[in-house]
Amino acid sequence: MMSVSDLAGRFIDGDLSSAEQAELAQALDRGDAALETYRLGWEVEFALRRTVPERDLAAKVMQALERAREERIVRRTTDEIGRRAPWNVSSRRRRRWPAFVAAAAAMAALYVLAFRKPSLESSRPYVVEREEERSLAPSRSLPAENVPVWAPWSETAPTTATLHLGTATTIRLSADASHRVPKAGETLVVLDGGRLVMEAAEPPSAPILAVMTPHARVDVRAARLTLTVRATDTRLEVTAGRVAFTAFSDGVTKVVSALQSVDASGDPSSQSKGATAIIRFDFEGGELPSGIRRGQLVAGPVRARSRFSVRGTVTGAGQFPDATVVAVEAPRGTALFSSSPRLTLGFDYWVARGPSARLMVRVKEQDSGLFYVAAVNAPARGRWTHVEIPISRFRFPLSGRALADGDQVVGITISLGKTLLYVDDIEVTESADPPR
Amino acid sequence: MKTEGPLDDDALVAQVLAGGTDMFAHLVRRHQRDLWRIAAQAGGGSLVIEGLVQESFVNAFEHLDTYERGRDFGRWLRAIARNLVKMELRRRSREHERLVHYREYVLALYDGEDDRGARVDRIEHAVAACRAQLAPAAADVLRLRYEDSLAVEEVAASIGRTFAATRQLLFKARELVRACVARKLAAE
Repeated sequence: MMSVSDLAGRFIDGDLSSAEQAELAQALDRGDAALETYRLGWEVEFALRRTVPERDLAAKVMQALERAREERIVRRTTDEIGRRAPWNVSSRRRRRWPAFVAAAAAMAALYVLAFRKPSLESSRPYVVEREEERSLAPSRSLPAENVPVWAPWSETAPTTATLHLGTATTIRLSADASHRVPKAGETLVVLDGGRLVMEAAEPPSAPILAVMTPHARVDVRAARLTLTVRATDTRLEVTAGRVAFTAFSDGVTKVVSALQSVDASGDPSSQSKGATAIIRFDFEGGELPSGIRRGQLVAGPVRARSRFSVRGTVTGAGQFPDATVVAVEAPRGTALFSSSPRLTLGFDYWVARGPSARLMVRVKEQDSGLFYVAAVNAPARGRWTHVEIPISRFRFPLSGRALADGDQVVGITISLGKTLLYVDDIEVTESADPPR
Repeated sequence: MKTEGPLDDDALVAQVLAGGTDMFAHLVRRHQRDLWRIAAQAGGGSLVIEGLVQESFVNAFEHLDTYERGRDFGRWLRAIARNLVKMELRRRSREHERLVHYREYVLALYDGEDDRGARVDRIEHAVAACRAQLAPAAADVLRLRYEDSLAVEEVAASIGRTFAATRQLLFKARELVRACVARKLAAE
C-alpha cells in the first residue's frame, strides 16, 4: 500500500489510477491523522514544486513579446484561415466594399431610430443594475473625475453642513440630520433622520448616488431634491431632474420627476428568520460587520424590506477579475459554529446575467484548515434568490468526506466566477430535525 | 512594490509605456521567481511552467496601460499568473476528470491565501532545511525532478537507473522530507 504522501504527489502528477484514487479517499476517511499526513504531503509537494530554477527568463519573455507582436500583425491582416483582411495588406489601405456596407448599415440604423415607436423603458434615466455592473469591472479604471472623492464636511451655516463631490454635486444637511458620511470612493449616503437637500451633477461627470433612509432608497444621477426623514416616514420632493425612488415596504421603484413628491413609510428591517439562527448577517446596520473578510457594503439591487447587501469583491489585484467573493470569518481562536446535521446555511444572492458559472460555497474547518464545498448549479440571474444548503451536504472535494459532527467551522466563502454577485441575509439556522 | 535595483516598478512601467520596451526585461527578472512559484501549481513539467510564466508576462505587457501606478505591480502580476493557472487547470480538468478535484483545491488555496501565507512560508523553509540533510542520491533526484522539472523517465535516464527504481527513490526522498518537515513543525 502506498503512503498518503506519495498518493498525493502522484495525484497531482495526474498518474493515479482509479483504484489508487479510491485507496487515497479511503485513507483520508480513516481519520484525522491520515488527513493531516495527506495535507502535509500535499504542502510539501507544493513547496517542492515551487522551487524556482536559477535561470533568467527575461530573454525568452522578450522573444515571446516579439512573437506576440508579429502574431498581432498577422492577425490584423488575415483571418483565422489565412484569408486576407478587408484592407490591402501591402498599401495598408482599406478596401472600399466594407465602407459601402457600413454606409448602408448606418442608413438603416438612422431610419430605425427616426421612425421607431417611443419606448417608455428607454426613456427611463435610471438603469441602476447596469450601472453597478459597470462599476464592477476594475480593469477599466474610472477616469479621475468619475472617482467619487468627497471633500470634508464643512459647516456652512449654523444650521447646515455641506458635502461636495467633485465640483458639481452638493449635499446640504439640516443641523438635526442623523447621517453617515460616505468614505472616499463610496456613493452611498445614509440619512436616518432630518432633512437633506441635494444638487447632483449632470452625467457623465458623476456616478449615481444612493441615499438610504429607514423607509426608502433614492437613486440620484442628475437632479435637485429635498429628502425629509421623520420617525415614521420619508418624503421626497424633486425640483429638477428625475429620481428613482424605492419604498422598502413593497420594493417597487418609481421615477419621480420635477415638481413631484412621494412618501414612503413602514418598517425597513428585513424579516428575521426566528430565534434559531446561530449566526446571521443582514447588514441592515449600514456598516460592514467585522466578521465579513471580503465584500463591500452597498445598497445593491433594490428589494423589499432590505436596505443593504454585500457586493462580492474581486479576487487578485482586481485588474483581471476572475471571481467575486464574499467571505465570512470568525475572529481568531473562535469558530462560527460547530458542525451538526441539523444546521443549514442560507443566504440570498443576486447574480448579474453573464457567462454560465456555479455559485461555489465553501466552509473552512478549523483543525485541518480544509475547505468543504457545495455548489449552486445554474444560479438564478438578475433577481434576488434565497438558497439553503444543509451543512451535511458540504464535502471535501477529493474524498467526498462530509464534515463530522462537532467540527469547528471558522469561515464561509461564497464565490462566483467573473460575474457581479450580491449577497444578503447570510445565516446558519438550526432545526429540530436534520434538513433534507 | 519592490525597491531593489535602481528604479522601482512604477518607474520601469512608465519607461516601458513611453516606448522603452527593453526595460520590461528588468521587470521580468525582478518578478520571475514569484510567477514561477505560482505557475508551478499548474503541475506539468518545466516547459508548461515556463510557458505560463511567459504568457503571464506577455499578458501583463499587453495590458500594461491598465495597471494603475501606485498600486503593487508584483501583486498585479501575480493575479494575472493565478488566473492563467486557473484557466490551465480548467482546460486540463476538462480532459482529465481527476484534475477537477485538484483545481478545487487550488481555488480553495487562493481563497485562503491571506491566512495561509505564514504556514506556506514555514513549510518552504522547513523543506529547504530538510533537503539540505538528504543523502546525495536523494537530493539529486529531487533536484532533477523539481528544479529541472524532468519527468520521472527523464530523471531515470539522467541517473542511469530504471524507471521503477527512480520512482522508488523519489518516493523515499519525498517521504524523508515530509517526515523531517513534520518533526520541524511539531518542534516549533
